Amino acid sequence: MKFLIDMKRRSFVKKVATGISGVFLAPNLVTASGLFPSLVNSQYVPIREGEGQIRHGVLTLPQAGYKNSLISFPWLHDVSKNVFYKNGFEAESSSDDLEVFSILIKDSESDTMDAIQVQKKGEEIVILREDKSWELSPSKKEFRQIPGKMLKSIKMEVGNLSGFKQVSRKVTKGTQVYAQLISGEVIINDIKLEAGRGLCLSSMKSLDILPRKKSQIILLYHQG
Amino acid sequence: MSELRSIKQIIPAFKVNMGGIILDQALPARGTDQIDPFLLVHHLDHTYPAGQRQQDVGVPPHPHRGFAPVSFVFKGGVHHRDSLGKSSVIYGGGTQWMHAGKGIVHSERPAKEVAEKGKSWELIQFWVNVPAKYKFSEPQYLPLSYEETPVMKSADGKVEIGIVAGKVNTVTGPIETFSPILALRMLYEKGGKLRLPVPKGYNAFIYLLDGGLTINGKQQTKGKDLIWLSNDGEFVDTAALENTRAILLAGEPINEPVATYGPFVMNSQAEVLQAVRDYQMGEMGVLNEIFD
Repeated sequence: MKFLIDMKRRSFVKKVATGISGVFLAPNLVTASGLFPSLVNSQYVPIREGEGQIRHGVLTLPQAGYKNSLISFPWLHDVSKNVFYKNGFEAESSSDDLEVFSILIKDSESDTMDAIQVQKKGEEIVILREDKSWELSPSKKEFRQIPGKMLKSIKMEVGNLSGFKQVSRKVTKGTQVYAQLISGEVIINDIKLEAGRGLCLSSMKSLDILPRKKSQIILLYHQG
Repeated sequence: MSELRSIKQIIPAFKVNMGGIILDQALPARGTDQIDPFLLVHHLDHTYPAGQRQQDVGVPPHPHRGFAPVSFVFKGGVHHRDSLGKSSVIYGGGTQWMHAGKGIVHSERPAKEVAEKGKSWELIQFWVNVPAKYKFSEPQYLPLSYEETPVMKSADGKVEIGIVAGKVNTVTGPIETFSPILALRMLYEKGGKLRLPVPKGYNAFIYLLDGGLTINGKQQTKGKDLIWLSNDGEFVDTAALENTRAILLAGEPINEPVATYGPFVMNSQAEVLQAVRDYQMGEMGVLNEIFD
């Protein structure tokens, strides 16, 4: 029964999201007004959220080879989130439970895949890319590069944002960007982004990120 | 050291909603995360309504790494399928002992007739930690039917003891473990008496599925009690107040850090994150269930 319900839900989400994504694939109307020099293509990406992870639970995590059809970037295959309960059977507290974002990416030239894991426990962030882990301290005003040895075409940055201080990046032609918040709220190139969904961006000359509150962000860049 | 182990604590199991299934959890308990090397004791006693399909009930495919999930089956049958290609049903009196090792994907569903005809399904699942040096061993599934389990009788003939792992007198259980473990299943008739051996230095407890036992001639205990024994002796005396089913689990403590989240038991959070990644990259295998 659960499998049938999931299939129906998936079908519904796919139909709704296809309709919504059609709207967002259109050039951003604000930039098209001429106030800003470039047109930006953008698409919100729903983050698949599994049921809370209990001891005997099913881990809702697509495996390598799966491609989420709602995500238009060919190198970004899926984004999922799971919360692992510390006590093994129910949500206890955000500081003890483990939130894990899993991002499936693929380098089409080398046909190599990786499943980047971003773990949040309380305010501490740990990123696992390939076989190396990196920490992002919540107290430091920093952006960290997270390099990959195998999928070099995909650059990764994670960072802390605060105090309404805009962070900007120059973006070379043909670069596609995936942005996702671990926490907080930002405006990216005039598009609002909140935690809970990601944002695919292309056709821009720069990336301008303005935090509306204290935020932690993941950025993936793919050079076309 | 006196001969008899005293009682350290009696922990009554409490109800837990495990993804829609209500079961009794004796371990972990409030203030007690584990009784090293035992991390979990779950007692499930459920009757399925008739007319269900096997693929719609039980626990669908999920991964494990770093420990041994073990099921003692008491009623009905448990159908295990896994990414190694194993598929077997164990019925009441039998055991499913799985070493997850570096990773395995398995499902645990009621036997087909249990789901279709509406029967009772009762099992205890306990999780046994393994030392760090064995957490990446090759996974193994070890089914043991009731008929394959060595059985002894107490001196008064009123207690049947199944030896699953470890040694009692000259009888050795068939399951080999990565650290010293004693795992026994006991079936008491009312009035039956049994002196249970508990190896020196092992952490140990008795869990009652039902009935009642007097421990060391003094303490009365009841069904769904976990009786945690102190490390101050080498035996425990039990006497059945009524017909009683119980298990004894004892093991040499591993004394290593434990990070347990979801289906993985490792030594650090970083290793749990690695397990999530490895599962997603298909390194724990894939299980495509085939149903009749």
